[in-house]
Amino acid sequence: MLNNKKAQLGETLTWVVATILILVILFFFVFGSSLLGKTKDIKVYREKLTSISENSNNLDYFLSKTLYTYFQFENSKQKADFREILFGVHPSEEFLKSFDARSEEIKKRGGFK
Amino acid sequence: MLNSKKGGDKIISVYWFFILVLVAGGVFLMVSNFYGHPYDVREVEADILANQVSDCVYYGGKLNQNVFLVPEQKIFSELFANNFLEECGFTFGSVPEYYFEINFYEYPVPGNSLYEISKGDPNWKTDCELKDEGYEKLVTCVEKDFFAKNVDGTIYFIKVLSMVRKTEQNVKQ
Repeated sequence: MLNNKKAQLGETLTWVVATILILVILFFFVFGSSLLGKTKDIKVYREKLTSISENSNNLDYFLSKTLYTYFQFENSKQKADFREILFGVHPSEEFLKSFDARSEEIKKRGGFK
Repeated sequence: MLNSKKGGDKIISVYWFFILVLVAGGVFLMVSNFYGHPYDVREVEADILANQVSDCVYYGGKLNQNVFLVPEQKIFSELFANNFLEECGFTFGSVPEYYFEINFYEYPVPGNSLYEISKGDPNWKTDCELKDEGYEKLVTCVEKDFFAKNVDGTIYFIKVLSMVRKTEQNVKQ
């Protein structure tokens, strides 16, 4: 009879360990699902989808408007002064890259020389 | 000896149900955690609002002349500012969920605002600066600016501020 009780104790121990393992794994999955839920903030986690920020080389709506104004200047001195003021307002390297990248496109689209 | 083994099987089957309930509870928690978070698209919405509002003022390199009461004297139109929503085809609805503000400044040195067009609830403006815990439950603000040239050669520096509230639809309460 003592032998039978030893075998039952062995089985119970296995299940205790298994229960703890299941609880730990469930905890990680629940925590993971909570983190995944927070990625539904479109601005933070999927910035390329929004792509209307001055830090992106994709479509910048407001930069396009400024470029239309820029290309309406008649001489290069006015353009240079305007660029200086513009980059004073937006001093970042990304803005300068966006400005150069979009310039050709707006020049072509607006028919500017 | 055989009788003792039968008793052991009955205890284990109760334990199986306990594990089943535990795992089912875990799955329920995971699903409710994930689907309980709504998508927060307010910044995209505020960007689109700013784009549409600015298009009504300056589009394709041309400033909307309705902005002026007397264009030759550069006198701005209060009527256009008051009727901006109707003039530009916006509908805000009875419950205020949006706010936008357009300010015209001088070029090259912007001083005080020359002309302001604003619609919606302005009381949310102070919430734009807050970054404390729970700030996402307030409004989402987007500020953009651009330069516009009038037909007479005058340049204006225009700032557009757009705000979207809609916290019930976009933020977990």
